[in-house]
Amino acid sequence: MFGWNIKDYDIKLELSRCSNGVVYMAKYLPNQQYVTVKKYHLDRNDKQVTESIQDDIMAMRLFSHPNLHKFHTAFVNDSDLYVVSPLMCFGSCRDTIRNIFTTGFPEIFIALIMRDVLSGLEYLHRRGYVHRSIRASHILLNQTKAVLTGFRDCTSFISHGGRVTVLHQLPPNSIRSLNWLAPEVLEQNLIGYTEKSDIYSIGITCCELANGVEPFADSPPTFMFTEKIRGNVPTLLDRSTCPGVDEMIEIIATANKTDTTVAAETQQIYLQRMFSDEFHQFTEICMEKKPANRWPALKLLSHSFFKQCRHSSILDVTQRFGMQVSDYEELRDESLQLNKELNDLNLNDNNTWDWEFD
Amino acid sequence: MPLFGKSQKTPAELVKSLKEAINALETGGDRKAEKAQEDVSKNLVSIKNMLYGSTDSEPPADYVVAQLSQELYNSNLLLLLIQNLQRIDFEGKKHVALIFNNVLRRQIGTRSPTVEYICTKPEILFTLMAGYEDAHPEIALNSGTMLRECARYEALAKIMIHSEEFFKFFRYVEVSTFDIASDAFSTFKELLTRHKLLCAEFLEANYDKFFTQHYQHLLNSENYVTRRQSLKLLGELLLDRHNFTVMTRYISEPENLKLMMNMLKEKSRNIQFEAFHVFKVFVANPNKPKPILDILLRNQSKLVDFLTNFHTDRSEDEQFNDEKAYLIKQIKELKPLQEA
Repeated sequence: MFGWNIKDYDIKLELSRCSNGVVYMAKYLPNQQYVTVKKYHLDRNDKQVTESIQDDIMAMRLFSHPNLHKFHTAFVNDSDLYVVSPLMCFGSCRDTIRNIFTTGFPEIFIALIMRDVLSGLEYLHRRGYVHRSIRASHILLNQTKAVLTGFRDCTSFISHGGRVTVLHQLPPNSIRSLNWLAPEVLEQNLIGYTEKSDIYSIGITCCELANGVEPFADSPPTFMFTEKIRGNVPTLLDRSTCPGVDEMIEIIATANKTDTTVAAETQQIYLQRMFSDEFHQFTEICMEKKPANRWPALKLLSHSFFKQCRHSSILDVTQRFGMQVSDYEELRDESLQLNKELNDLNLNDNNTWDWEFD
Repeated sequence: MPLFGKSQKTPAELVKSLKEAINALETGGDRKAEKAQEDVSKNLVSIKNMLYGSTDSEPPADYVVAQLSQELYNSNLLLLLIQNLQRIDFEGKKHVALIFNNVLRRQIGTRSPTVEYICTKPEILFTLMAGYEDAHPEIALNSGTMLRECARYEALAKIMIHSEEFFKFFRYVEVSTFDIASDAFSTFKELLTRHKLLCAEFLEANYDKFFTQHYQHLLNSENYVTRRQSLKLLGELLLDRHNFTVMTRYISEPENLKLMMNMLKEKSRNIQFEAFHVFKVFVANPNKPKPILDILLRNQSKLVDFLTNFHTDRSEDEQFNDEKAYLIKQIKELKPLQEA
């Protein structure tokens, strides 16, 4: 049980920061447990952002599955909303790419992550929900598992006591997720889309995890869209797929926003590695143009790509690849307290006015 | 007909066996409760599938739904399920809501038989409303989805809004858990805005109790979200033309004007902005009562200065800037009433 008094949370360290708020690692003093505290500055957000935060939180309350992120409690203090959730010490897979695997995760690691993500997804799909925003930044990692998060665009086939068979609306917050969305979601036609659109995003996410780059990051949205409509999909870059030519260096440089020397090194890494046939095949099945040809989540879990998981676990691979968990007790970012005091100062400058009522 | 697997139970059998399982859950010891929990879950899934169909099967036949609904009414099972909601497991609670919401929207021609049925059993609504009580947070959100579906029907909204229980929402929307408070607020808002005439009549008849005794409290809440949401809803209520009488009364009370003027200069920008949308109604009123006019006059030059510098960064919001310019002009031109 976690309380609603912010003073009971000892904020240790800033983990990440996004447009809507900041994520901290904290210790809940009454039970000495480490948690993630996400702080949203509600007053700096407009109504739409506040609603999407609310949607995300409400959706998490609907699910109960070890591979779907949940939160312990959420409360308001001053004009900030605090969401307290289990600590996922490595942050998102996007963070892990940025910090550790800049040219992509090792295949075994991706298999282990995807097995977890698909179990969570299968739970959602079986209950008639579509996530609509699967991407590396919405998969969180700790020493033992991967969980799916980012439910602000999650929706259901069932609403107001009735069931529909297809969806038509573009997810309301999808503007930053367009590169991951399936062609039929982007097409916005009368045929609509189903939960199979999530499977396509799984395929795109596999490429993102393997290559360390967001697919289509180098191209404008219109190009991305036409490519998907034509059935052209990103690939896992290795010896069999990565062109050894100089043009490729340019592409890598644009996508990664790096200079050509770094991009050339990245290309060399791609050219020296080899992903298994199973992995290539798995990704292709996910990104089939026709939704009906994509396997459902449950069937994907039986794909031979996951055979390699048999004698391994996320705990093994994090250790094998030297992902250290530091001693939490040692951590403390002293600048945090100072920042907080500065913020408090800023907020108290508007009270010089006084109305005359009597 | 599937070759393997059990033959399907009829609606009557399902309802009967679910009712027995719920009763066992209510009374049974540990061992028995475990078995009962299993039976409850199993039967809820079967009923839910019967009503919604599953993705790979055809939508259910009308007569099955009709039979099932009839059994649900006759057995009083809907109330029983809701009363025992906290005893049912996590997935089962969601199934109860799905079943309830589906049966609720059932129609025969222009009649809604489930709505008629619930009108004769208002305990169903009151039990759902009590789902927001602190004692059982695990059923609050499930109760909320059912309540909001009920609120779509005027007959049910009327029962709820006129009940003593309705005023408990003022407590529910302010609880510390953000998710439950938000859910309660959306139900509260739905009840107050969905059926315009019903709400207008209610607000007029209960003006003092609603605004003076209770709503004031929300606007002064310590919880930022409660304050912001209730201020916004107040603006929407006052600007809805159905609520003209209520609006006229609200903007003639000096206490309300003072509150809005104070909220205009709160540190939160969003609250300032929402307060502006209520404040403008006081100023735009062509027949300002003397006490209101006096306050505005006493602060005339301060208000002009204040508004001139108010949210100057919203240059792209044309409507806001027009309204602001209009208010400044109005306030500048204010003159004391001529004593006749």
